[in-house]
Parts: sequence; structure tokens; C-alpha cells
Amino acid sequence: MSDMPVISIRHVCFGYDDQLILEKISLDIFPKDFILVIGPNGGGKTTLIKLILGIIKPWKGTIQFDSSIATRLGYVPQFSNFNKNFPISVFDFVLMGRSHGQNYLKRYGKEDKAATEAILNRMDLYDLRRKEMNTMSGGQVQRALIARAMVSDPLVLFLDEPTTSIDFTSQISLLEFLEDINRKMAILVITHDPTPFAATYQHIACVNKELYYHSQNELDRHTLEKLYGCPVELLGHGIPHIFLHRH
Amino acid sequence: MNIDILKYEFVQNALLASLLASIVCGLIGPFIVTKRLASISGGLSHTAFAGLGMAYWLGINPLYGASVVVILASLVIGYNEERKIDRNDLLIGILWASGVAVGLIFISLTPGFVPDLMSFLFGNILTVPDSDLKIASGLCLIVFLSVTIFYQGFVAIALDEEYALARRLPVRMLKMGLMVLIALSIVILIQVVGIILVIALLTIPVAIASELSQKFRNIMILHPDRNLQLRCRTHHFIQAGITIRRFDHSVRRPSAHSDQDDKETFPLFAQTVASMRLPVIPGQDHGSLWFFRLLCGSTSAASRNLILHLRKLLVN
Repeated sequence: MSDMPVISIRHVCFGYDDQLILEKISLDIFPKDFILVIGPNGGGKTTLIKLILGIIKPWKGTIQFDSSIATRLGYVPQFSNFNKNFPISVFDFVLMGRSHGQNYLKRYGKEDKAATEAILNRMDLYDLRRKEMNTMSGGQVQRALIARAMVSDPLVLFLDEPTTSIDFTSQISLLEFLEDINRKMAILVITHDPTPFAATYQHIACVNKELYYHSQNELDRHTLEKLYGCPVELLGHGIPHIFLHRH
Repeated sequence: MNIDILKYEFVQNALLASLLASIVCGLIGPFIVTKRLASISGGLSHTAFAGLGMAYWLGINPLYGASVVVILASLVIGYNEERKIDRNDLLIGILWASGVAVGLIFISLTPGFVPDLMSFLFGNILTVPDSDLKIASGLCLIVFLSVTIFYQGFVAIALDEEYALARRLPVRMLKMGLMVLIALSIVILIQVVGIILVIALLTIPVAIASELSQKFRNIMILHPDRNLQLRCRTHHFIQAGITIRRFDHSVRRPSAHSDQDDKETFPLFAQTVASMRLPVIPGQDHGSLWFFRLLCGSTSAASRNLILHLRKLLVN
């Protein structure tokens, strides 16, 4: 692990209207980290990612990163977020990942198109590149969203619930893909279900208004119970099932 | 087609105006439809009535009044959406109604000659003066340049606003800009089709084009995809085309009875629309079905007036 964090979040507070969602969040993301963000619904997981990406502004606190990487943060939202009413081909959709605040007035160049073709090949989407986004299946949309995030050559990749809308085999290939790109970039995954990532993750961040940060194997039942507010059974690597106690 | 008719200056102006209208509709309409801004556009066009009324009362060119009021209203709606002060549909309803009310008050306050209300509501393509044509061309140029320069940005906010924010695009500026461009387009269209039918020109051709093409850029220039090209290449100038056919129809048969004309214009229009596969669209939801009916009804009414007007001109 290198010594300098890519992104460092200090004492961030945020809420909607007058309801506090996140309180005094501090988190460092280092290059090549693999962080799982877990926590109950409404605990503020997605809000945290949106704060880091600059989609919303924090009430208090700072989120610091070098200005040069502001355009190199990849974001894979939950797939229901984009306007399905908009007619756009897979190629153009992924290509849009190349534009950012500094270059959006320029037309796309050869470099942009080459990068898009490369990532489409990598994501097994090249044959579908002329297809309309709104005619794609859930798994294909998911891959297109990842391709759009990857095409900007990110240093940190944020994925919001990447496993909810895809089947088991797609999950496996997604995991392999994430493990592979983790050699080059930091990854932060929001998930309800940490099971598939159990063998891969390095750190776990539990978000429920506050943030509890743990390295692998540090997480104990006591912290999780505090977080979810109910008894929780922990799972180990290689054990495929999770059971919740009756409560 | 009777070529003689092109000698009249008012016909030339009418054709130019419909050409300008078709350009702005092509550029802005797709954004309105895909970003679901149809009701905002309807509200804005009715707000323009307040500006028209005020300008009449002040004795200045009504288009100036309409421009100022519509741009202000678009900024208010944009600001409201940004800050979430109130529900936007509520605000649109208020602007819609109060725009018409304020316009009526000012028109009734205007001493002397009272302008024909129907020409505000349905427009009159045959009475576009040179001065208005100049304003419309200027506005059209602004719309054209802005859409070409900011195309990527507008597409980004129409497709996925949140992602555009994450990519550090100036989303707020782009949204406000789009609202102002919608306002300018409405000003251009009011002269041609009137306040009520602005929304029809901004949405229905787009709906037709979406049937013919799946590419946003093609929908903008209303150019069908390659495999569909045979169907209809000329619908870029839908409005112009319909106008020409109406002229042709009425000029060739000046002796026909007016009631008959009325009856004939409707199927003529319906046929034009049908050849562009419009009937496929109303199936989608009640809103567009309703608009389709309204459009058919008001177009046949408007064209009847147009034909009577033309006949008077030709007889004298």
C-alpha cells in the first residue's frame, strides 16, 4: 500500500432538508484499495459516493483529492438511474464517459473512439455497439455502465450495488473483472450482500450515519450488531450462506 | 403546384417562417421530448401571451414582449427546479393560467383597435412581417449556434444528469441554457402556429421522427435511418409541406364551396400525417392521443380560415 491517499475525506456531514444522513465521516482511499461499503438501507451508502463524486456538496468537512484526478473517478450507478427515454447506441453511451468538465465543448477525437472500442471489446459489448441502450438486457446495461466508467481511465472506480440486477454467472465474471482491474486502480463497492466479495475485499466500511472502517479479518460480530441494530451472523470465506438470527 | 403563388411576398415570408420554425423544432424538439419538458414548454408558450398583451399595450413589437416574458419565465422555472422551492408542475400551472390572464387584461386595456385574439392563439403564417422574420432569423441563429456548441453537454444532461455532475460538467448552466433556448424557440414558433400549437410542433414531428429513426442526431435533423429512407425523405419540412399543399389545394379550386374545403382539408391533413406513421404514436399514452385530436381539430379550423382569407385575396 502506498503512503499517500488518492482521496481523503475529513469530518464530512451531510443531510437532506434538516435530516442528518451522514455524520463526521472520515475515510482515506489509497491506490489499489478494494473497499466494500455495507450498511442498512437509508444508512447513507449511496450518499457517501455521491459526495465523493461531487454530485452533492457536503454541509461540513472536506473531501480532498488532486485536481488532476477529478476527471478520473469512474462511477457505475445503479442502472435505473439514466433516462431510458433517450435514444442512444451503446457505442455513443460509452463514448460519453470520455467527456468531462474541461473538454465537453470539443468533439470526440480518434483517441476517444479508440479507447471506447478497446473497452467495448474488453466488456464483450463490441458486437452490440450499434444496439440501442433501451433494448439491452439488465446484464448488458450493467456492462455498458461499467464500460462508460472505465473508458475515462479511472484511478478510483465506484460501483453502486453492482450485483443486484445480474445473475450468478455474470456475478462471477464481474468479480474476476474487478479483481483484474484492482491491480491498476482503487475500487469502492456499495453492496447489500458482501458474500460474493468475501475473498476479494481488503477493507470494509460500514455506513449507518457514521462510518466504521475495518481491514480484512478485523470485523467482529459486535461492531456489525451495533451497525445493523440487530444480531448478525458473520460469514467466513468459502462459506456460501448467510443466516440471520430471528429478531 | 401553382408556381405563381410564390411571387407574393407574403407567401415567401410564410415559407421562410416555416423553414425557420422547422429548424428550431428540429434542434430543440428532441430535447423537449426526451427530457420530458413538454408541459414546461406548454406553460412557457402560454406565458408568452402576457408578453404579447403588454407589448400591444405599450405599442411595441409583440415579439419583443413575448421574448422578454418567456425568457424570464424559463429562468424562473429553471431556478425553481434547481432549488426545489415548489413543485414544478404547480408552478407551470400557475404561469400557464396567469400568463393568459395577464395578456387578456392588457389587450382589453389597449385603447382603439383590438387585435384578433384568434391570431395570437393559432398564429397566422400568412401575416408574418419582414421585421418579425428578421427577429426570428436572429433567434434561430442563436439557437442553432448554441445547440451546435453545447451539443455534448445537452445530450449529457438529457441522458443522465447525475453522471454529468459526477463528470464535473456545468449541469446547472446547461439546464438554464436549455430552458432559455426552449423559450427562444417558442418565440419563433408563436408567429407561425400560435400559442396553443407551439407544443404540437415541438413534440409531434419528434414523435414521428422517433418512429423513423433510433438515433438522436437523426431525429434532430428528422432524417430517417437508412433502411427507412424510402418512406419519406421530405418530412424535414413538414410544416412547410402542409402549408404548400393547402395553398395548392385552395388556389386550384377557387370555386369550391368553403364548407367542402373544410371537410377536405381535414382528410388531407390526416393523410399527410398518416403517411408519416403518426397513428403509431398516439397508442403510447393518453396525453399524446389528446394532443393528436386537438391538433387535427384546430388545424382544420385554422386552414379553413386560411382558405377563406386566400380566396378573398385572389378574388379582389
